[in-house]
Amino acid sequence: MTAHMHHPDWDALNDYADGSMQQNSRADVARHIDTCAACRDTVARIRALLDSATSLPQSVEPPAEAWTAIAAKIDEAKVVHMSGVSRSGQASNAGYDVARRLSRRRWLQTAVAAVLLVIVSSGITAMFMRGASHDEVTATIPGLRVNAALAALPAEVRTVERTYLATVEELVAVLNDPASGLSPQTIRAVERSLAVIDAAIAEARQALVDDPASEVLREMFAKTYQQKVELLRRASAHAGT
Amino acid sequence: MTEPGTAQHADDRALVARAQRGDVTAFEALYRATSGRVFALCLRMSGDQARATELVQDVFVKIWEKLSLFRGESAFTTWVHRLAVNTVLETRRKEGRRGNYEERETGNDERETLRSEGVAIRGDSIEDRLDLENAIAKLPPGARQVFVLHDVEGYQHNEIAKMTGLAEGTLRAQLHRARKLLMEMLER
Repeated sequence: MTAHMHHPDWDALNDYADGSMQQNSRADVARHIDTCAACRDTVARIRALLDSATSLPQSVEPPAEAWTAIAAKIDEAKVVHMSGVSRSGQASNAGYDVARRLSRRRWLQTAVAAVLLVIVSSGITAMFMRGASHDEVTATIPGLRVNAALAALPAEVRTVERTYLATVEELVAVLNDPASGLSPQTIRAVERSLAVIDAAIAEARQALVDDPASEVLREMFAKTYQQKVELLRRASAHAGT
Repeated sequence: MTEPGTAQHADDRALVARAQRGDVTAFEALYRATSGRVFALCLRMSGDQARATELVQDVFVKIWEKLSLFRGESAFTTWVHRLAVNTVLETRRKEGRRGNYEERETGNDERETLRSEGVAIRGDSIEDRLDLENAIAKLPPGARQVFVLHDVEGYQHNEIAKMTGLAEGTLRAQLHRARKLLMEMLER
């Protein structure tokens, strides 16, 4: 290709204009362009197009509904990904994370049942602690049959229980806050799960009534309440997440 | 998103870490920060707004699924953009080649909309950009793809060859053809 005889073809002019031409060919084309207005004009037009292309907005806002659809698909994918495997069969940490969160949610569901059971059981106990009579308690909770002997717990045991109940009531308030976001279904599921814990407390309490001097029973009673409080404490730490 | 070493970059990495642990709120923040570039790519690669909206959704669902694979060796925006390109190309391969020219409105309506909204059109810059966007949308899919990746997004021939599986010579020919067609449309 010489400067005067041959015009560079379209590919060569493009390579020259965008800088991708090999060095040994550039000089030849440059010499031709110096003397050829038509090719010089073509190179200028190509470069103007390239300038316009790089000047296009880098960012274009997507429609608002795009995120709504993405969030819905992610939510749908959480159910599919519970096992930690994506639809394509590849392991996905997002799935494991979701599974952990769902486990935490199930644990949270358990904690909420404790709240409801505590509300009932602690309400009754609190009434006895305040010295309410058997008749006063049953008048407050129609249909409830209460063993009058509960009121006969040793004073020091009642003191221990009063301390735990104060903590329980604080944690109950956190979980009952509407901002915790727990659904009625969640609450029902937790109720069923924590019935075992309150049954154990009730058994320990009854055993203490029968044998108030037993250090083993007192310790068992306190430990059962400790477990309940610890469960509620962990539940309230996760409420609202 | 930001240059490594800046305080904002540290915040970005914190958001990524939270999103990797399943925090959708953090993921939404990442979406807000990166979706504009991704949508621009999808729009120009597809030449169609509705299709681009579907593509951006596909991209971000894929980002969510693959987030655990991001190790921080590159900037998050770079990783997102590369994943977006691959997703768009893969989608196109799956759908197969369509008919070539996808007719779009000439952009006159867009200019009228801008004028009616009081957007001052100074000189020819906005009109030029609208013309070029519309012209890109009218390119044949293969030519459009290479033009967008090379001349708009700045990928090199060897990178595009790797992403598309096409030979560099073929890519170069497609690119030059795209430029020729664009110049003919814009200079009419």
